[in-house]
Amino acid sequence: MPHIPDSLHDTHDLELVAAFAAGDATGPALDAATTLVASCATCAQLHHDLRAIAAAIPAVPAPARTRDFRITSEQAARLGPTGIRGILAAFGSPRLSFAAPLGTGMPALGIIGVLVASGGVLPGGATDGAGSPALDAAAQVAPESAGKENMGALAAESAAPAASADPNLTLSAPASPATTMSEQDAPAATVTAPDDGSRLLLAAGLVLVILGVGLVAIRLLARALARAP
Amino acid sequence: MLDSPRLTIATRRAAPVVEDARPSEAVDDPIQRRDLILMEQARDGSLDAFNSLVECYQDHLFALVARMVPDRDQASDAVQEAFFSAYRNMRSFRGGSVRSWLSRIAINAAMDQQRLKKRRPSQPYPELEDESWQPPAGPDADPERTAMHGERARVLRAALASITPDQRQAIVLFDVEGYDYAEIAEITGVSLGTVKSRIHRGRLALRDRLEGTIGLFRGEGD
Repeated sequence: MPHIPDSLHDTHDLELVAAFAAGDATGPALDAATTLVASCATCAQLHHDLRAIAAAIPAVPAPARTRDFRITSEQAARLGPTGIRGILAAFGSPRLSFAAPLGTGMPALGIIGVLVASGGVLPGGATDGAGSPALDAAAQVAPESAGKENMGALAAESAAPAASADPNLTLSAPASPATTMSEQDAPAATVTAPDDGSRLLLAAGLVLVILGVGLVAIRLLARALARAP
Repeated sequence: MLDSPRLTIATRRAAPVVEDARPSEAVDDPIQRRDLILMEQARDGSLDAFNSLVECYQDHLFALVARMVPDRDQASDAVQEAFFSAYRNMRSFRGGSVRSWLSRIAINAAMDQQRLKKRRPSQPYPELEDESWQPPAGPDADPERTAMHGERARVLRAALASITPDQRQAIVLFDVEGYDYAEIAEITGVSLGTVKSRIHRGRLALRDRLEGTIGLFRGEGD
């Protein structure tokens, strides 16, 4: 390796030598650094010094601690989360990790409950034409039996088969042909209220959905607060 | 599970023999097992358990922070703030090494302290000449060698204190704490290349600062 005059050392890439000394030079940089260290005495000395300094740094004794950093009960009381943050912190703790699956399971159950309850309510709400079997049966039977009677009578006639077709319908209008109803009364006659079981199921389903979504939201908020500095 | 009597007993034994099918080698470490038990108790509200962790790690954290923040008052403040932060955020601890978790909190506190110092510069490094920084000499130590080591430590500390905080932080984390480049990049929020560059330039800066006393170090590197 030809010797490079020290006067040229100022033009040498010292960071390359530092990278070489740290073992970080690769490829062409490694070749260039090897050439520099092998041919320039000052670069070689620098390389040696950098390695010596790196080796000496861990040996610098640790400074002595000047204070006891234990936390007093007063400081702990001041540092602990209070109020709403304390409640949220409890929700975010790993011990309440079951809240996440619970929070997602509750809305699922709730939605099923609402759907089941809706299945019991919709025939009563036949005016919306939601396509329930009871509604279809009523629509087919009504024109044949009603003949030329007025709209009120038609409504009364149609309500009777609907009620008989669906056992869930409990509050149907009397099916007497003599009964005449005004046009305003007709829809009221076809709307039948759900039974207590369906109402209860619907309410419970909605409560489950709300509770589950709320639980998930609170836990997400608590986790976000816990991660915050 | 962590506070079960079986695990508590295991931490008191020199060689823990606990039949545990879990694959984690970390939990086999009695120190880490002890730390996890203390952390669990602290999270259940035991201040004594948390203070036991403080006692275990306050020397290490102070040494780490004091190397990054040369002003010892500021280093003390940073360590105290780190323990406060750890206490406040115990619930965010997701397992693993308590020592690493505390170290990262302390490093962040040290970085915050340095940023604060940039905004409000104080008297630079008033403690550098404090003799209490010297290592205690053993009874059979060679006085000449001890004096040389002491002098080398003193000039190196002064040199470290005079380079930029970013370079000092990278060098301390790499050379003293043993973090690798990727970990330092993650901790400090900069790229891998920046970490390497800070370490290389920092060592070059140290060599410049040590120009007059570099003879103390020659013969040590190879």
